[in-house]
Amino acid sequence: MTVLLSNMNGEIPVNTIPPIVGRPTITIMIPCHNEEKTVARCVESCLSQTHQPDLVLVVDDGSTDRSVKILESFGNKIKLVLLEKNTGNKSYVQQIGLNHIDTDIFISTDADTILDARFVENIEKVFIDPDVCAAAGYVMSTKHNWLTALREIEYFIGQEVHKTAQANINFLYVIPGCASAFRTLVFKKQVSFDHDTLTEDLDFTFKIHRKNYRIIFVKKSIVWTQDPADLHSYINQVRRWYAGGWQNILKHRDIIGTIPACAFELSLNNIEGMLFAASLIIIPLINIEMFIFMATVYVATMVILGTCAALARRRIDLVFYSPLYVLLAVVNSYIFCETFFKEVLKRERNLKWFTPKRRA
Amino acid sequence: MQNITLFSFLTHIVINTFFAAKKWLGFDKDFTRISSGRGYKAANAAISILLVGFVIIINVYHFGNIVRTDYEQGTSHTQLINMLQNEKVSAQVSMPAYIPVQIKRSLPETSCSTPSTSNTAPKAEAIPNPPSFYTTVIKKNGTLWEASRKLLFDFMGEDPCAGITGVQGANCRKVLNKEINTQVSYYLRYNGLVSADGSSLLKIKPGAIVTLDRYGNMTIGY
Repeated sequence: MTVLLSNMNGEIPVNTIPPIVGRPTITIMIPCHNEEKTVARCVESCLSQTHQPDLVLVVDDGSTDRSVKILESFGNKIKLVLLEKNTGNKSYVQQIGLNHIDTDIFISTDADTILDARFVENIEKVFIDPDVCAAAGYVMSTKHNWLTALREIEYFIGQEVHKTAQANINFLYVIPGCASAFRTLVFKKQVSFDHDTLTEDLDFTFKIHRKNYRIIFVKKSIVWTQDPADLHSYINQVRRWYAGGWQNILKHRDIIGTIPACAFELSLNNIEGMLFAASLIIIPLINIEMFIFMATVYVATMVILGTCAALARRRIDLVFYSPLYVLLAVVNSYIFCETFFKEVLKRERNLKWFTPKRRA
Repeated sequence: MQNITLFSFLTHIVINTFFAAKKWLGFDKDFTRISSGRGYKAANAAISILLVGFVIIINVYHFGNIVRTDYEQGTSHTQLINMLQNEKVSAQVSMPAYIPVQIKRSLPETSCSTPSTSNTAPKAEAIPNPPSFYTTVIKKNGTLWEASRKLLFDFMGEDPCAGITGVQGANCRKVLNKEINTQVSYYLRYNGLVSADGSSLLKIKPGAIVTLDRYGNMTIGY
């Protein structure tokens, strides 16, 4: 177990993070709320790792379905923490869970996620470097319908192109909440889970960057997550992501000027994103021919990218569904502008959590 | 997950290519350590500013083009002067307003991308019983440009592109707008109403009478 080294303010300078000697001890934490359809598979995947975690901790957030019964059936293989009342926000549950963790490293995932058998084995290696505070795993979407196929294309491009580049310039924009690992001591002392935004993963990523700790992208640590399979759930999820994104930019705007790579990535993600979104909404209103031309180019591009994704994933359906991405781009653009208006201009600060429908 | 956008995608591809090449060539310099240096920060900030500026310029230019093809927007005097400086108008002497007329007549059935560019006189049936000339007076605060546009619309009908939709409609408006530009530009230059270097329009006083005859020739008198 690590030894606590801290200065008077509780801060741990990067160069004095205590190194882990030998194999690190690991906890996998799973927040859960009404996940009866998925939680069993998630826990099973945690228990069948090639490198067994020392603890699988499930924090149930006042579930009203059969989740607790299912979790209790695992007996003493897992540690179950039950909250009587639903907190309404994942970050509360994670913070409570964090108090039960005393291992060197903890992995945070979601109850709708399945971990690859070598997830722990691959991700624990990066913590040998004492500069590393956190690691991001590789997310894939479980196959279901056209909407999840389009999300898989997004994940493919997002991780193979964008996240890889971000890792190269040492600024990962976000550690996915369903595939993340942290050095427990540093996280408890200097990061923690806040409850004032809708995307806790973006929040803790910014906080880690603020402290100048290093985050590693581990492509070999794979998880499969359940993405929305109907438009209603999709829109609500994207709305939460974008609203949370704007909330975090407002919250952490002071570091934009101090970390150049942050300004660089934000200009790509948000300024170009906003220009693109605005164009996609305004152009059809003033020149429909131009919109048709743009949409055609976009569809052609997406077919090419969809083909690349199909080859990499060995899923031919990604090619067929890729032209439909232009529809999602319009939906995303509208939500991007809508959330900008509400969160940045009107400062509404919506904190209502949304859980998409789960499937067995 | 953001939308997949062009510059973000290309920029990240370039970064990945650079790092892949670095690895392939065996340069083992730790880039992450450079990233804390002052030079890196300055370069990064400069790239950010350039990138954002580039994205904005591309978008403004793109929107500008869309607006410029809009039939209702017309062209400002500044654009007119630019056009006079840049376009060859000497060959346009005897091709006034007939091209738009032909566009109007032919577009609903065929494409407007193939209007006649012949310099020959118009066919008699192009305009049934046309008046010998159209005229208008430049109003107070009015401009020659506005007057000329009005005359040309009188000549060609209220909206020669009415009823033509889709790509054909857009082309029709584009050709029509260009034709109006050509007419006015030619007249101004031919009659010495623009300074030699094209930098300024000589003032035309309110009350000037602008006339367009049936062959599209424009004159100004008092």
